[in-house]
Amino acid sequence: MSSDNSSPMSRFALARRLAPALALTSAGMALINVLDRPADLSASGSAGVADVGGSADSGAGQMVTGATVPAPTTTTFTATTVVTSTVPPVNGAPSATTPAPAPAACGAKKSTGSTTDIVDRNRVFGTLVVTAKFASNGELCGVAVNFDVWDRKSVQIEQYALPKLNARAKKAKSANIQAVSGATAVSRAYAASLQAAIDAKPL
Amino acid sequence: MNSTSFSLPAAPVAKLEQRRPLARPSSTNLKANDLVIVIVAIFAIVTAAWAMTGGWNQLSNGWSHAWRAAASLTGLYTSLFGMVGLTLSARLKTMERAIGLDRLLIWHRIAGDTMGLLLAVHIFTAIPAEMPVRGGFINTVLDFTGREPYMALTAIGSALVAVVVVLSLKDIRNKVSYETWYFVHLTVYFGLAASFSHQITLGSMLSNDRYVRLVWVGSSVAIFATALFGRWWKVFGSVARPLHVRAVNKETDDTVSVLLGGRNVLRLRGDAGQFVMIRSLVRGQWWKTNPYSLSAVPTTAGLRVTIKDRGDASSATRHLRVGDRVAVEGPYGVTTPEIFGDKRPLFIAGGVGVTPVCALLQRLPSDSRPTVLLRARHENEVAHLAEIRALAARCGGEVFVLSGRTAALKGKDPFSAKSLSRAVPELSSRVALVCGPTALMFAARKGLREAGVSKDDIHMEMPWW
Repeated sequence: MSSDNSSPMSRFALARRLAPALALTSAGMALINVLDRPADLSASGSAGVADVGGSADSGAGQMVTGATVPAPTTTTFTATTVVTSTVPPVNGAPSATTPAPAPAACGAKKSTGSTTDIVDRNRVFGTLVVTAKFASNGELCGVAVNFDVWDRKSVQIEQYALPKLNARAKKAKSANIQAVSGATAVSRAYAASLQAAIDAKPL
Repeated sequence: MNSTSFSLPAAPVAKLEQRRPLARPSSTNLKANDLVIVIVAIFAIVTAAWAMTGGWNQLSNGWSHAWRAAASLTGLYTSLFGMVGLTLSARLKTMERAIGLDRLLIWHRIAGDTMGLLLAVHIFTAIPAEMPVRGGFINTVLDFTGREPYMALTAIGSALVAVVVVLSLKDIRNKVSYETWYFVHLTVYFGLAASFSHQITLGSMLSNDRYVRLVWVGSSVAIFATALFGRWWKVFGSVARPLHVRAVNKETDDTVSVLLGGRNVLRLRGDAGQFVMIRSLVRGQWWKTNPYSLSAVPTTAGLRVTIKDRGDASSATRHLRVGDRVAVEGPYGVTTPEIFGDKRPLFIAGGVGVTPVCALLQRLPSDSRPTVLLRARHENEVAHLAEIRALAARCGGEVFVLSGRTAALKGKDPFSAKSLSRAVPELSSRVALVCGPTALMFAARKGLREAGVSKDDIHMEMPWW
């Protein structure tokens, strides 16, 4: 039966009709392979954002920024008042190292707060720890933060929110600061850790 | 009562040739409205969950938040419409019995179109929502096409879904062959599955709450599995237990009636007025299916379908020979004899649309007095005409054949309200079944509505392709 209705025209009928679907699928698979380049998820290693006040602290391993919002994703921090800076966190591109004059007043006393989970409802995104710096008169004058988060989006949020929080903390001179919108969990953890640092202020 | 009943012989095994009607399709209490209510309820629950997890507050909290809220809501809706569309096309038995395969597939199309629209809105709200934290448009797009984990999968998945939606738009769909379209359509499974993962990693409502996440992932997987399994298990079953062509009769110049029988016919349930999806298992044809109405009450002797040779699509049937294996899905459809109730039936049929009429007439009670209006170019072209005349006469009905080219009718619309009420006595108290070419169906429906036949009393298989 079957042989007489497969004329040369219809011999490739199925292949012809199947081709677009197969082409689409395989092109899709190939593109996924090409495009799927997620940033290293375990971009842990502590990435710090610190010293809005421009302190002269030459503390080791901290990345120091100005108060400007960093340019995300292609993160090279614009380091305005930097003493030392280490390799930036996300993609490992080296950042500029610029020496800067050190205002002597701030950083006479330091205190490190508690390591606090950045947590939103049930999910933990990472941890942060705030180091507060005090002037000789005991006033809060600068803040350094180390954070350790586990996914790329959190890294971006951190880079966006922490400079703002630092600025706000320095202005308020206390842990009573307004949350950065879109970064509620970070703000909450920051405030808690900063409060702990202030509470532990050395005499 | 009779104490000697032990001596009765064992019941003989029913022979196929004894021709008893197949079991009727199962009935369901589910109504189209119930389905709509369930779908609306699911949307309401998801919307409520979105609003309660901050979506509502975000909307009125600055542009950036509003974009984000809109993106998550449209994302949820896109996914829901995808799931609804998938479920509708799975031909689940209860749903099919409630609204019929034709309407299921039309709803499927509507769900698909809506999904495509929402997908576009989702993409173009998610980008501005993420631009502030990701540093501009370019970076956001790069993140969303690969730098963010799972987003390469998602981007390609949604591109596939978009291709499928666009290719299903009627104008474009009609430009390619049915099978080409169909095989591309199947890649939507891949598209939907690929774009699922980002809902968990990026959707804040789902990533933040463990219980919401559990319910969402669980129900998505369940629906996907049901749709996939339900749909393809039927195909597999129909191929594994095929019917055989038992007889082929030439009815008119271009129509043949085919009797499909065999042992496996006993597994089917069906009734007059339904249709089957047929896949002839011969070389070069096994990957095509076509819908055909039953032209006789299905019996243990087999299913009779009457097929018109319309060129490519049904030319396969010319090659059907006695003994060939044929995979049959169905019977599907809800225009069974129950639709007439106690009212007088009216059949309006054109071309090869006479087939369900022929089957339904066999099942009408002898006092039903049906009226049959047949439209054809020539009386010779009406298949089963003698059979229809005899069946109609048996239950006190009449048959009119309106033949001649449409141009020769001199502009008179045979299905206008005026001509219909002149031709058919007691028109407004009848139940009408319309079948035939699309143009005829819509013209007849319009005429019937204008002549005062209520909407619920007009039945037809809606064209879904």
